Amino acid sequence: MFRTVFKKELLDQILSPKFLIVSLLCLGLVPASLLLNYASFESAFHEYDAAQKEAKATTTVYREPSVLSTFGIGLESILPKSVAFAKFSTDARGTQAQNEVLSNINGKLDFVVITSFLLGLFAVLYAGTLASGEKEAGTLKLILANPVKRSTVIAAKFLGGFSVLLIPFAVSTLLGALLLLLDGFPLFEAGNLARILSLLALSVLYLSALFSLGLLISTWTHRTSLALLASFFVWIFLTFIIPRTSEPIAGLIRRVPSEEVMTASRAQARHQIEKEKGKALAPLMDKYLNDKDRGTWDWDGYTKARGPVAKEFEERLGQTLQKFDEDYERARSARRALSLNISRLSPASAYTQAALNVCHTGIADLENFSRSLQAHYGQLFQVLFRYQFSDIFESEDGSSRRQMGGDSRPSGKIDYPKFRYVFPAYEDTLRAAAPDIILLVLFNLIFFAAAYFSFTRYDVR
Amino acid sequence: MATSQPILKADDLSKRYEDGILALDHLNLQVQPGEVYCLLGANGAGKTTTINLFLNFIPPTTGTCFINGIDVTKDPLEAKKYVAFVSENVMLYGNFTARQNLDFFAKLGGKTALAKNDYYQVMRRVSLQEKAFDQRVKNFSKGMRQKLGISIAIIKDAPAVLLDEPTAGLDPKAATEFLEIMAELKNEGKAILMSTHDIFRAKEIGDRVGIMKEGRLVMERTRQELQYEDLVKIYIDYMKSEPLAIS
Repeated sequence: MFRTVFKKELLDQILSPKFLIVSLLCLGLVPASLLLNYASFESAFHEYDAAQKEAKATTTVYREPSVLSTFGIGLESILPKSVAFAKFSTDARGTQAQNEVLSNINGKLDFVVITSFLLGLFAVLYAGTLASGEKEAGTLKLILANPVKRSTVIAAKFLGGFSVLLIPFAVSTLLGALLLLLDGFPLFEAGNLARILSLLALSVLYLSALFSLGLLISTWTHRTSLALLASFFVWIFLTFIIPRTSEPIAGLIRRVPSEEVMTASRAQARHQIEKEKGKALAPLMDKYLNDKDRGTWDWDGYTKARGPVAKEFEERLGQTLQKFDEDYERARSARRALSLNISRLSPASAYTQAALNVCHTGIADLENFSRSLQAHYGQLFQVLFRYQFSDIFESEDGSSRRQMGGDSRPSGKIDYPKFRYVFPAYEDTLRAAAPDIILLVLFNLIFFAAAYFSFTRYDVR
Repeated sequence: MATSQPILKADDLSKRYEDGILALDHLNLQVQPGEVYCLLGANGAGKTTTINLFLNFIPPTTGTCFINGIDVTKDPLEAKKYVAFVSENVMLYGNFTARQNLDFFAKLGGKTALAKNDYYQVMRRVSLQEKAFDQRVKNFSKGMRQKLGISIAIIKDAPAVLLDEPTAGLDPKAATEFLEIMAELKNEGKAILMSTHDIFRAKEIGDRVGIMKEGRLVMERTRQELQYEDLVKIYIDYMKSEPLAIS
């Protein structure tokens, strides 16, 4: 019986015009988006490569773009292309988004977006009429007038209908992958294949959750028009409203000062300590750097003598600024986590987070990049920044201000630490994506179980 | 008519819906093999509810339906092996051809080893045009779809056939052809329970005719009895009579 209903469902869906529409859209969009995004990656990579080759050993580092951004752009377009370090500050420079104004407004098309939005919509609409459509046509009564269990009908409908949805998805992805290979995409390098297969598995898991949701809606409605309308609204709610409101809602619950406020507070604290340091160093300045007689300046004497006096203040300054940065990052991280958790109420959001992490363009990569920068700053501090000093002498009323800067580093070549951004390992990505994968599995189980029980009680009259 | 074990039997059958409406009130009826039982009544009289109860689409509030002696509530899958169903205005699968529709429902009914010719024979029997056999059903007229619906019931070859308003919306020629097929099925020994609004055709085909009003079977006549009575007058009198006391 299962085979009979499954085959019927398969054939019925394949022969329907919607199958043709979905197939044409997928065959047009998926390969095209992959090729365009790969071209975009190649251009970004050439820029990175050229910058790396030309760059002398300095305090500026470059970020390698992710080749898997071909499948999911995610944060790739807003992460900086380079970062310039200075003592107690970093300056992120150049993002892809700066050059793509319209893409910032309209959003970019990639495999993850196509799956999340377009195929997600098709999944929920496809399944949304499976029970109600048969009821409206009167065929459900004819089926159930035979010795067939309702559980068999719903299971066969799910598998049959879902298989039909997967056909255009699989064919267009295969075609896209083939074209990418011909274009030189390193499919078999650096674990790319495993990540792409993981992305496909996640996509199937997500689409199956939305298909089950559509089936559930179908078993709650008795008219095709109502089922379609309800499916469409649920899709809007899950793919637009929840993901796009999670961040403002999290912001209301966990208030974090803006970057400008934080920078101003940080600067104020820095200024205070610098001022105190200036007061302590003032006698030394008078002694070695007498303003009245520039020709008698003993710069070496000052540099040597200021060290023990300034040490306490510089350590305090380092600790204070580090605490500022850590507290701010902790607050932002907590808000981000809350926002993520709210958005995870939507399968679309859970899928997007997990899929982008797999593509090295998700939040896990943003955090990993941030950690890499912090580590690099620590290395630069040891070889360079700890020797650099800047002393500010300011009168009590602020009417006069004098600044002295220098470098107490022993002479010789600076051994700049090398920076190469290392993408998270596959295991780390899976660990980061685990909550979203578990949620997608749960969404599948909950929606299908609800659809199953609802159909066993479905009024077929 | 020879009396034997009834194929279809409603035993003190009642149905009250969740909204409190009593759709069927202690119905008792039996349909013997080779007998056509026509249920007449206005909309909401309980005809379709009776058929839905026989098919276990809804559970009875009290009473029992039996198909071939099997309690449909206790063993619905077994009971459904012995019954075929033709519904009003069935659309079938528009993207499938007539034969594909027939093949699907035949397999559901347990007929898994049929050849192409078996399907063609059944469709010829219901006078479906040959050229329509392998055409998509979405272009079929209502009459053609109804003929295909009967083919589905015939191919199952079940001892009981339930028909819910099968001639509604059919033109006179199609309705006459339909009744001819019913007569053939009756002669093959099928027990047929048909709900209809069509008093004239009920009188023509029915071995017994029951009139339902507000969920109750208020009258039952045999073909012999109806030879001496005017069914139309009886029906109209019942419809005009005072509403029944609600139990």
